[in-house]
Parts: sequence; structure tokens; C-alpha cells
Amino acid sequence: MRPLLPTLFSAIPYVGESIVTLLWGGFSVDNATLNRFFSLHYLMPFIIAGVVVLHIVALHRFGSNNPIGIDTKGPQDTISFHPYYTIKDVFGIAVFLLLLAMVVFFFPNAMGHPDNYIPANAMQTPAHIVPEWYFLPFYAILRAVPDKLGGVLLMFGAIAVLFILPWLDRSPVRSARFRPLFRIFFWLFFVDAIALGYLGGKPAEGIYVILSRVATAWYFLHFLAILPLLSMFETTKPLPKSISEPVLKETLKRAPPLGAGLEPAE
Amino acid sequence: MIKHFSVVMIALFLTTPAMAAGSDVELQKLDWSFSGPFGTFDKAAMQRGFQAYREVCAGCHGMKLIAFRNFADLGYNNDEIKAIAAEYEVQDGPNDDGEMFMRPGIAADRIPLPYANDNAARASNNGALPPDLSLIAKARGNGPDYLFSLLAGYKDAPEGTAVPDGMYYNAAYPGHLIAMPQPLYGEDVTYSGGADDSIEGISSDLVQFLMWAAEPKMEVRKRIGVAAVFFLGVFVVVSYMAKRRVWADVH
Ligand code: HEC
Repeated sequence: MRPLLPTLFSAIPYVGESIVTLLWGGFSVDNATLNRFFSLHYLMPFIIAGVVVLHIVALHRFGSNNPIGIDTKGPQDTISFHPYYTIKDVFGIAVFLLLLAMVVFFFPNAMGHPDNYIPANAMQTPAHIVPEWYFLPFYAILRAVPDKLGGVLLMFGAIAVLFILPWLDRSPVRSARFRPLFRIFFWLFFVDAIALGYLGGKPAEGIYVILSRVATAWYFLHFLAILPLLSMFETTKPLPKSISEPVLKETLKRAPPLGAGLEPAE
Repeated sequence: MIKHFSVVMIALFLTTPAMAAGSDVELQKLDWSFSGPFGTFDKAAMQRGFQAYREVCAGCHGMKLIAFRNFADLGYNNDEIKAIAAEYEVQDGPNDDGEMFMRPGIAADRIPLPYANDNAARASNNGALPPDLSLIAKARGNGPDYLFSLLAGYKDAPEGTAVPDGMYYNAAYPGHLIAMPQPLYGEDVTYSGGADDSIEGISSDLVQFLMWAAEPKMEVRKRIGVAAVFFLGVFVVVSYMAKRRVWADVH
């Protein structure tokens, strides 16, 4: 991936070559390139730390969302963070650590690549360069377009489209729970993204190219056509009046009296 | 939520690129003692594998990451390791006169390399470079099975396949034409104790040895892994019960 990324910029008309030279720090991948990209990666954690701060500020301002996607109406709708969410997170972390431990101890090479055990050789490019798995969907999009500039634009567009998502999906209903059609399309999109990841790891030939194109088209269709149309025409299920309503209804069925033992929220 | 998470995990494994080898290579799948979460190396086979490496492969392939002291893992004691090391001549120096000199090996030395440098290795092998074998078992997809299939994969070329001079036909090698002449024919080494010295027998001994070389701490890793997974499994159950308990009054 490292030599690949700067060369993507060469697709930009007129100034592309100069940008690549600037990024490389020379006319080929060299020590200067390594330095540049090392410092870039060193910078990233600080950017991430800044975004985390933004996230916490937003959380304190607006509170957290919930799976039902409706605003809290009063104290009966909320519970305190501790102990409810701390203990829930402990459980979630435990499950994650268990899966992580299995990967670390029993399949340490599952997400790696045998080529990583061959000493680097500046004079020889490995026979099959494949990006890391998390880049594969975007790599598939890049290769699906026969035109280099178009491919690069679509690849970055695949991420950029996420930033305008709030304006694409204007449905007043926030939770997919009450949007039956959206649910179907969500899972279609999920399958599409996995398919792109699979196709990105396959050689760009024959049926794989055709499938990549179909999957790429679907990726953008989902964001640019399906989401706006859905939010206009979908008939949603009725929303509960408050968060506590669906919860309490279940409680009522199982164990009356209603609301007994509910903790007053902060 | 957990359901979704496991779907994602499975999806991630599916998207891991498979080593793109030629599709028509013949890979034999074997049951190795070291595979699986409880797998361990076979010490006797590793000792035989080292013997075979030393007598057959070491003329062309180095193992520059392995020192004699590492052979403690093969079940040799200190005296045996010193004796093995002393059978090698190692270059040392410079001495007080500024000269390099040869001396018998000691346990701290790495196994001496067959060639002074890559160019010398190419010059003696028709221009092909015999790769270092220290990490070879992990540097190829399906390492152990591939190595076994490679060593036991020399065959007559099928009709219509031209095999150039200095190349050999191998059923397991990607592209089938390899610059390494068939190294094993069976009975290449004399094992004490009458172990299997057919091509397959020696090959599987070599695979044990090479897999150990590529990952000497594999047994420790798996041992810790079993304990860690057991501990975390208990932790998951306990934290789930605690979560149920705390949330009981909200649901
Ligand atoms: C006569 C020298 C010679 C001997 C002896 C020899 N090899 Fe090789 N070996 C080579 C050469 C040369 C290559 C490179 C082949 C190529 O690039 O086509 C090679 C390649 C290999 C490879 C890499 C194949 C790949 O996938 O790229 C392995 C593994 C290997 N040898 C194992 C062994 C083992 C194990 C032995 C001992 C049983 C052995 N070799 C004995 C010369 C030798």
C-alpha cells in the first residue's frame, strides 16, 4: 500500500506528478518517503485524540442516542451510566477480549500475509501485492473503474459520501427498527460491502471485474439514490411515545406492577 | 449485538486475502502434531529434521536466524549442544594482528552460512538464489503442507511441458518450474534407530524442524492461549451474570 498511495495522486491532471514528487520527497520511493509517511502516521493519533475530545463534548451537550432513536421525555426514560452501562461494557469488553485472545494465541497470522516473513528487498516487488484487508473494499472500487482518475475519485468518494450522510437520509425516523424497507436495504448494503472486500483480494480479471463494477455501482446507488428515496417514500411503523413505553409494555406482560423498582435517573 | 459482532468477525476472516498461488498446484494436506490449539512439536522428528537439513539442505540453504543454543528446544542438553557446535568451523576475529581466523563453534554461534553472500549463492546455483530457511515455514501460504508437498513433489513433467536446462518440474511449486534440483530421493540420511527414511519420512521430519525454526515459541504461545481463553471464558460468564443482576430491576 505504501508505494501505492502517493501514486494515486498522479491521477490528478496537470499537478499530479508534482504532488507525487512532493510526497515522495524525490523521484522514487526512498528514505525521504519513509520519513514523510512515518511522521504522518505519528500525527494521526493526535488527530484522533482531538476527535475523541469533540465526541465527549457532543455527548455532554446532547446526551447519547438510543436504539429506538427517539428523544428522552423525562426521568422515567433514563438510567444512570453507572452501574448499568459500566457493567454492560465490562461484559462487552470481556467478549471482545475472548475473541481477541483466540486470534492472538491461535491464529496470529490470520490477518497477516506470508510475504511479511520474507526480508524486504528494495530491488524486487513481491509477486502479488494486496492491500491490508480493511482497504480491500476501496481497492475493489479503485480497480472497478477503467479510468485512473475516475477510480481514484470514486475510491475517495466512497469515504466522502459518508460525510454527507445526514443530508442524504432525511427520514424523520432515526431508528431502523421502525423502517422495514430500510432494514432490507441496510443488509443488502452490508452484503455489498463484504462482497467488495472479497473482490478487492481477487485478481482484476474476468468475472471479478464485472462483479466489482456491479458492487461499486450498488455502493453509490445505496447512498445517492436509495437513501434519499427511502426517506421520502417509506411508510414507517408507528413510533412509541417514549423510550420507557416499549420497555414498560414488556414489563407489564411479564411482571406487574408497572414501573415498580425503576431507578430514578440522574 | 453479539450476533452482529460475530457476523463481522466472520466477514473479516473471509476477506483476508488467500495467498495467490497458481490454482493447479498439488497441495497435500497432512495432520501435523503441531497444528491445533494443543499442538506440540515432535522432538525426535525435529532432531532427525535437523540431521536431514544439515546433511542435505545446508549445502545450499542457510538458516541465519538459528543459533546452536536454540537446539535446547529440540531436546538436546548443554553438552550435546556444545558437541554439535564444535563440529562446525566458525569465522571469528579480527584478532590482535587484524586477521580473521577460524575456530570451532560454540553454543552462542549461529549456524554458519553455506555462501559468503547472495551473489556467490547465485553463482553456484545457475543464477537462482536458495532462500534462507529460518522463516520459510511461515513465508509461504499453508507453510508446512506446502513444504512437504514441495519436497515430495518432484515428478516427470507432463507431456507438452518444456523443462528448460537447470529447471526441474515440481507439482507443488507455483508455476511448476523450480531451479532447485530434487534434494531428496529417500535414504538420503542414515537415521539411528531406524526411523522412516523414505522421501515422505524425511520431508515430514524436515517440516517439523523448519516449523520449529520459524516459530520456536509456538508451544508456549498455545499454552498461554489455552489458559487465557479459559480465564476470559470464566470472565465472560461472570460479567454476564453480573450484568443480568444489575439490569434486573430495569427490564
Ligand atoms: C543444490 C542446492 C540445493 C539443495 C541441496 C537444496 N535446495 Fe532448496 N533451493 C535451491 C534453489 C536454487 C532454490 C530456488 C528455486 C527457485 O527460485 O526456483 C531453492 C528453493 C527452495 C525453497 C523455496 C521454494 C519456494 O517456494 O520458493 C525451499 C522451501 C527449499 N528450497 C527447501 C529445501 C530443503 C528443505 C532442502 C533439503 C532437503 C533443499 N531445499 C535443498 C537449491 C537447493
